[in-house]
Amino acid sequence: MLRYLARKLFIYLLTFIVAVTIDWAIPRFMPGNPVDALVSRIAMMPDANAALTSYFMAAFNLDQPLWQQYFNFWKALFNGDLGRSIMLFPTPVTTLIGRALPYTLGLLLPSILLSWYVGNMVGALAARRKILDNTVLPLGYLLTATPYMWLGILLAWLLGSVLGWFPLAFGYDQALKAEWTWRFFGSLVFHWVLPFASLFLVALGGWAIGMRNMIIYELESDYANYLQALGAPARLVRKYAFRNAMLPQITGLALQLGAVVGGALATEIVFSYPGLGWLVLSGIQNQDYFVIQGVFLFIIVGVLLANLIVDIVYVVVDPRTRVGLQGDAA
Amino acid sequence: MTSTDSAAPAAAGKTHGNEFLYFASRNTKLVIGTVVFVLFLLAAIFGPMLAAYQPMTFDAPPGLPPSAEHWFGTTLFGQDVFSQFVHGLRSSFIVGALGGITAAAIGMFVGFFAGYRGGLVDEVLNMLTNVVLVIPTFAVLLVVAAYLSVRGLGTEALFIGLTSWPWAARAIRAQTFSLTSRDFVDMARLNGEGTFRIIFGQIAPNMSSYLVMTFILLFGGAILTAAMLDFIGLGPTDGISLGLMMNYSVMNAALQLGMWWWFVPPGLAITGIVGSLYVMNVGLDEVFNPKLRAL
Amino acid sequence: MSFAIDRRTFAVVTAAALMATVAGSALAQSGEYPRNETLYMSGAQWGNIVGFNPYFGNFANGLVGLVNETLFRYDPIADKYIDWLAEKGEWESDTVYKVTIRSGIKWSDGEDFTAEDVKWNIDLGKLPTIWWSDLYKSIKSVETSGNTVTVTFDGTPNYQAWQNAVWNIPMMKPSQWKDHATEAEITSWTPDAPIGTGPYVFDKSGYDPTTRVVWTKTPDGWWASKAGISPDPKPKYIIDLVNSSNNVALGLLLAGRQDLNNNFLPGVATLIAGGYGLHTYYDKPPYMLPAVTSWLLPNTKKAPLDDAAFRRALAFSINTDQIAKVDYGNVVLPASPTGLLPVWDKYIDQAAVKEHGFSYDPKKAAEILDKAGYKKGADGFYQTPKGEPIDLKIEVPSGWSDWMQAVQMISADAKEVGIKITPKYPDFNTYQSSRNTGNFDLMIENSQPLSDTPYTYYRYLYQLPILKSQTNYNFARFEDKEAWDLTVALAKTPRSDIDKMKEITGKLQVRFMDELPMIPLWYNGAWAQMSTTTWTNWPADGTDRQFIPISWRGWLQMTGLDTITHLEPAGQ
Repeated sequence: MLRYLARKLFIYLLTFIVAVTIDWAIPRFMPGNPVDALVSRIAMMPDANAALTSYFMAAFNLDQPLWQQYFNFWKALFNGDLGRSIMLFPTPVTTLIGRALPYTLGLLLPSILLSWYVGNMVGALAARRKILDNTVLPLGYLLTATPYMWLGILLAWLLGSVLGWFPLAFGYDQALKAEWTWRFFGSLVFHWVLPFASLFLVALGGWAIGMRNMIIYELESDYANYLQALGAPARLVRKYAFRNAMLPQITGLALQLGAVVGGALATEIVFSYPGLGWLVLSGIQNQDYFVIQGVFLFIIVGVLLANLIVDIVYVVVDPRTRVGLQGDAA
Repeated sequence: MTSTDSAAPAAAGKTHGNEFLYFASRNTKLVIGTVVFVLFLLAAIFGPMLAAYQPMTFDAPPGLPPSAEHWFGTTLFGQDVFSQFVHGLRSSFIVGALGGITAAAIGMFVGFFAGYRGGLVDEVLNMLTNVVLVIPTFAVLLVVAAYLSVRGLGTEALFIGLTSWPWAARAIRAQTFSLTSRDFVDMARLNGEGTFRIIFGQIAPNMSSYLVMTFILLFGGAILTAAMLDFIGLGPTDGISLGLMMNYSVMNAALQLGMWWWFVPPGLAITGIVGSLYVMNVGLDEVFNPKLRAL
Repeated sequence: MSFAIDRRTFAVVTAAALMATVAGSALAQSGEYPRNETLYMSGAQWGNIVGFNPYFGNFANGLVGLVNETLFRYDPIADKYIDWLAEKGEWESDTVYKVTIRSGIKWSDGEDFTAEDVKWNIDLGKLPTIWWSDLYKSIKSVETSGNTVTVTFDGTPNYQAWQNAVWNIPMMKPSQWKDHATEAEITSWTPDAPIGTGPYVFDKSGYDPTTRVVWTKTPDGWWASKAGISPDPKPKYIIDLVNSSNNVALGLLLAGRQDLNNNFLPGVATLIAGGYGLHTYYDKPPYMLPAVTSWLLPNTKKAPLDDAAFRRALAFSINTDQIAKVDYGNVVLPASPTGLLPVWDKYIDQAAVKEHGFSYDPKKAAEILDKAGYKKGADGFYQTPKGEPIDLKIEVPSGWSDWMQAVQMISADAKEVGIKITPKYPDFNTYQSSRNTGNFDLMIENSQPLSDTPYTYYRYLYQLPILKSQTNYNFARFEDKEAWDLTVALAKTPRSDIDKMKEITGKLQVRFMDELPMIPLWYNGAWAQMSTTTWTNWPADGTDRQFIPISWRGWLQMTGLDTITHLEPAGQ
């Protein structure tokens, strides 16, 4: 068990290093130079250009050789320093992420967990119940096949513009100061509903279908037939089937995380919701290396951690994994 | 990952052709899914020939609601929405097919080798899979697309293919892993057949149904991803696609201007195509796997 | 695994997530901005707000004009200067300019606004990163005495540029800035709360760099309303919102949650007619005042765009009427072949336009090409006289929906004539850096807005020498020594000598239309969609409120400020 965990950790560490290296490299292999963009935003005489460009190049350490920049990056990372934003110079990237992260987490965690939970429940109920199966299933397929942003905009238009029930955009009411009152809190929740709903609905369908199919597999498996033959009550059989069906759904959760994060970024853009998606989009538009790599780093760490947790949970809940560990390391 | 989640369809290889057709034609899900899919496919193939207008020319009055003349109305600039729609369908199918094939090829390659060879090969390929899995691929696509200012359907499909294979690789790996210990694989190995021959001669045929289903899901996924990319303005820079239609209509505030006919059809079509693929997938699963046919 | 545990875990995790969200966003302050006392505007701010440095591009919109004011202002509709922080500014001799500062003006920190403060701000020009540093090089001395500042020039001053600078240099508080008045910091440092003389001050509690900046009425009152020069502005708060998508912006505007929107919004013509309480400067097409000429920018260093005949043929092949009508729904007007804005109508030589100008005429375009030795290849497209294929790219920033439509139309028009042009949509920064470094074929460009003098236009077109990176002017990299000499001569003509200005601009116009270093397309509008739900008395043609209803950077010190000061609450 310990050896297994140690090996897992080692692999995760390696994955982390490779992923972070790619993360660092991606913006740097793009054509163009972020400082040019920064300098061109300052209206000035052309001859001052060179001086200012070299000043900023030095300020961002972009004048150093690449290997040195890479080394600096790791060194700073261990000090919890993600560098300074180029587009919002001289704000540290950690400040920007700190500002945006709560919004993204507030969207992501509830929508992932709730959709997983509700989806599994609905899927389990639907399995082998003809009426439910014939209504829930098609709906689930439609939801999971819907483009996030299209659904988001449609929701915003129907519930926001036409009916006026929910706000169209932003993280909170622009008439309020960001303060710690019930009113502000209510406004936060109010603005959270639509982006949450569009993420939740799309993910919900996928989980429901997955669960439904899994349970059917389980109910048709040998042990279930055996139990039934022994005269075990249907409830008991279903309970066992449900438990076994949960395992792949947990793995699925980990596998889906990356995609869900992508969906959340897209949803934030639709709703002008000030989370990481919004931040990384403006980072990309402004060629802000440090913001791009900082946000990606957060996502990488988040997804890796979630995978690790799922792996450990898996070992705990499924005794078979503990036995057959040596051959199967995924 | 253990093989629990994917054990069922593995037995499918033994299904005989006639039996397959018999059960396939009696499976409502498969039939409905296929019919919807084929309808869209036909619209994509023949629609552009039927369309009376060019998709991108400005030869109609702007903002017309659907009518006999313009079946899906016109855009704010007086382009025919129906014509854009059928041309867009065509691009979506092309991206889905190319992206799906690319992803399936990589996923199969990685999955087969990791699952069959095991050991170090497995570890390395596994790590590769994990890296692609944890890097926010959608965001990477954003970065890459933002800097390629002339983009075609091909590049878009390629990017999508290169980033969407990991789950397929994992699933195929698990399948391969469970097949590797079967008798017929042992026999082949004893006969001295090479890795390549065993994988493509013994293992792949025995999980062909599974591969078909994997490809269907990858195909649908590629269409969805392409739509999202197009939607935020990172799609092909020339021509039209369903995602680009949504992008243009949102950029020009179609819904706020009351022109729902510009925004709604492309999204519905994507939902329809991808949804029909998913339904087909479940139907196929039931056909391949006799145990599931009980209903 | 039992399900009961699962459920509890979920409850805990979900609750924790929500708490984290809230705790993370909560700041300490209280209150709200009552709707009937707040003016919401949007349109200038793209992306995040970058602090309060007027010398750095993306500073909080409203800073210059509402907080940091200028010595003078300019009314582009009446073509008149407005004395502002200065009560007088005049040329004492050919080389000496004297400014008299109004008395009784105070900074928001309570100190007096003095002639010394003005001198300090003008002297910033010695830093090479300041935009008037070129002009400053010709200044011999800046001296103060009492409430006057005397600027003495070395030789004939660049009258036009100076006249333009005095209503554009923002007055910043020297004590706040003195430690940061260095080459690099003047364009990158930002104060926490800017000190100014204007009608509004920064409200820190409402600041959110991702979405908005809030300006509050200055608590001690504003000098201009005290002196009876301007009405006191009615909005207690001004909130400038970061631009969101067209979709969201239009939604907010129609719901009456934005008062002044200064973005191009598609389909606006249909909405004005639709009774949504939307107001525009004109009540009929083109609805908007013209703000800036949109040009087709050719890279004159590349064949065949280095050939004036080819550029003229291009000009004849584009149907700008169609772009104005179909793409813009008639909210813009096609540009004069001189490129000069309607503000400068009096400088336009109509006879010369008739003789040297151009209009949409595909046949003529083909004639010009044939005559210049261009021949069509097998694919039906023209080739260079040397027989090389012509395949040009035309670039506009990705997401600029009106321009994206326009280049599609341009490339279709060009195809009709037989010129192959393909649209390309890079992101804005790539577009900008390609433009500055000359790494493009064709682009749409419109970075030179309306101003008080056509000199700014000709400088924009002709400035020499061409550097490796062209940051503000002459993006076409067009080398015309004679035109540049004429431009310099124009610069050295006093603003009062209109006849001499006409004579020089007349010569420049002919040269311009013969060579077409850039091709004028249409006049982009001063986009202003105003909602009458909360505020009324907006500027309108034919009333006594002929102000330019624009909040963009650099426009508040025109009559954008008057737009705000003349607003009245819409009532109950």
